Amino acid sequence: MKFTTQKEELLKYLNIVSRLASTRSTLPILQNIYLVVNGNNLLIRSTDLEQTLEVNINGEGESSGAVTIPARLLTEYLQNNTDKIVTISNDDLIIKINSANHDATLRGMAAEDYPTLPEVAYDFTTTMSSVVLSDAINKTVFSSASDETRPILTGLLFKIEGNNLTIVGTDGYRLAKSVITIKQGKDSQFIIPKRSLQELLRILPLNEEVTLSLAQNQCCAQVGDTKLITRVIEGNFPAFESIIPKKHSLEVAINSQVLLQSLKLASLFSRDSAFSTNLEIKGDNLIITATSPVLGDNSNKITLAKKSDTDFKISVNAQYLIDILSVLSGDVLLQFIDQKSPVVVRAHLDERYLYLVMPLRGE
Amino acid sequence: MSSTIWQQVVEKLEAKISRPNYVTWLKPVKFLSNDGGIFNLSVPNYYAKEWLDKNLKTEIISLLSELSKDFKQLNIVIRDAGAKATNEDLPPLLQTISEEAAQNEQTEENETINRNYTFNSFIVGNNNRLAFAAAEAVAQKPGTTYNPLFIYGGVGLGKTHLMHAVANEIIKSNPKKKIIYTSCETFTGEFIHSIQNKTINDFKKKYRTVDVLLIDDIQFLSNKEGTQEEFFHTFNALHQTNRQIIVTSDRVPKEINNLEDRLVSRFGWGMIADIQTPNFENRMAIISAKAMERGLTIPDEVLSYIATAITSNVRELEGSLTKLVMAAHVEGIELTKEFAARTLKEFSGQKETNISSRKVIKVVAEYFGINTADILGSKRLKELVYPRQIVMYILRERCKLSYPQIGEVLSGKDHTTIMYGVNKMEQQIKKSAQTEEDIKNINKELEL
Repeated sequence: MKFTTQKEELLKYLNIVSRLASTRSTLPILQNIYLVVNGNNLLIRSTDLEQTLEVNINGEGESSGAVTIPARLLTEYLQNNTDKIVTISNDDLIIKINSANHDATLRGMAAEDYPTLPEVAYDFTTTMSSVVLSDAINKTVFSSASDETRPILTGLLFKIEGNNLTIVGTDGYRLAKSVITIKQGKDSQFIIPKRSLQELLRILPLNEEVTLSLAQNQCCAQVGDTKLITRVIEGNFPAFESIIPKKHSLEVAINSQVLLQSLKLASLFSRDSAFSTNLEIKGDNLIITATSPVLGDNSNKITLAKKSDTDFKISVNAQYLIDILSVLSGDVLLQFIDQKSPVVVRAHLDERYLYLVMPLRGE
Repeated sequence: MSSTIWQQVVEKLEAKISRPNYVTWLKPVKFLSNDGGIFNLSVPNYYAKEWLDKNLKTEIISLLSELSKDFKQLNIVIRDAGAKATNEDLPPLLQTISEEAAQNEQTEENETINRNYTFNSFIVGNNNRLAFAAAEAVAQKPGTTYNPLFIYGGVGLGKTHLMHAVANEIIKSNPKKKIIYTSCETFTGEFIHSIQNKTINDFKKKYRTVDVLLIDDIQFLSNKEGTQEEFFHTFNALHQTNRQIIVTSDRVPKEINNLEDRLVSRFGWGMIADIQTPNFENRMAIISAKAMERGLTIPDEVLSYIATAITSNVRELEGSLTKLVMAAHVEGIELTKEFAARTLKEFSGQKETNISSRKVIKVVAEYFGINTADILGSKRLKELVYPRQIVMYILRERCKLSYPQIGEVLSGKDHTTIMYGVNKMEQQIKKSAQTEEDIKNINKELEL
């Protein structure tokens, strides 16, 4: 194969794709990326056996062929290469990278040994705005579980009903739900691994529109020339609807950044106690306090726009609120029922968004 | 054994492929089951399936057909690692969900529970006092007192009855509890079915969300590695969340062949209670209670005759009562001891022990048209070995001789040979209708 293209263009995609080529893999070839030249098209692929990333780059192909190249070496080489145009060619497993002022040869591995994904027939395809999807994932992905004890919770639920796509993430202590509008779909639900969605967040800015395709065991997201193919987690997502409170007894509106600031202060003093932080509503004040037997204590007062008729006190994990406030802006609504029921956070700017946190047991 | 066959295949292939390929692709492959020659394997993802199909499938097939006579087909399914055990309490949000779900859900699973089997209708005696007490304790505090409860004992002694009684008691105090009763066979069948139809998640959901799981005849898990593993995870999922598990078996966990150690040890976590055959007084109590239950007045001497005649098994005790009452009703005569004796002739277990070993050998030899000397001899012809093993089996089962005793009868064979023969027959009776028929006919001959 022989292929010539813009270095910056190539590097931009390499930075995305090479992320999946892990140096820690037991299988050496997974440290490589897979390159195929077909006419004037170069396809680059990488996989970590959970997900696959694929991009297509245009350039000048002189001869077709396929090979795999160590991802890290290639990426770092190009990062520091000052030339504008590069040519990649190979003689079997010896790969040459030539540009105006720099030349290199790399040792590759046979393309036939690279893991392949079977072609699957997708059940259906839907499209939506990349910006909207990106925002929705951003506001939900952090809520899903990172530890593998409950595999289902390491994924986010994608539920399609009519033109609505509901995305839900939960780790069993808090839950985030976002609803967005999509172009067309087929009523269905599937669970996508958190890690794949974090990858997706990186490629979404590449194009205005994203296409999601779904098959029984796998999901493909296409953004422009880039594709992310991931497995779908088997199993049933918890019936989250039943825990979303239908009413509340107390609601306060507050600026998200002001609240975030106070919570961050309080969290400094609750680090060693599971970020146990007290929220107290008294008249037109919200008082946020944290006490540490070792470090000391902290109290923060926020004046509410509207005076509350009832006084209320609840204790929560501050970190869970910090997580959500870090991705919201403008005003938020905090809704309470009682000391044992979840605290609901709603965003002023996005009324279809919802976040809830289980309170900590009060003394 | 099929899983050892698979291990052999893996060992052979390991030598042929590179270490990284082995670790990445071959090692995660799990043996699920062998359904009459169809080998079911599972791999964690598409990539692995694709790689195996491309690189190793033909070799696996040729090795399997070499190592296993009955090999027909290789089946590779993709199975998520989702089966991982959960090892903590439900996080608070999920707790709320499961509580809500429990409230909304119908108690349809509970239909598998037989309402007639209650603690009240269970006759307690010395033979089953421990099991009964344990079952009562479990019914009062399911999931906390003895979990699991392992009940073992012979056929027809009331293991299933006790298990249902616990379930009924729990339903009485809390009708919303989800209880599943199933036999080990059904569990295995459903599991295999769910793999084939890719409905494994429904299967898991079904068994891992119950409040009480009752599994009958758990000894049939023996040799079923895939199911054992699934059961292991089900067990953990339930046990960790304090859901009650009750299993029955015809023997203690340790004696169940080829049962994984981790299961054996788990069965010992709670309570292992046995049910023995009832003694005469118990049998009397049982039979009188049964007669009373049906509103029958039966002379004491008839009851005592039945209790004397039928010694091994409560189910037969009940059966013979039914039979007697029916026969007397049909023939329109009074139920007397003599009538009972006549009718119950073939049921009577009394005579069995009176059959001499010489008679057994003679009858078997005649049945198969061979000489008694052939049975006593040591020629290893197939035509002779089979009758010889039938003799061993009958001497053991009907005449209740010990293994060394049988060995002595059969010209001083080693007791391990006898054990092997008896075991083999036990297996074969389950598998082959012909063998079952043979034994039945020979038993009939012995009655004459």
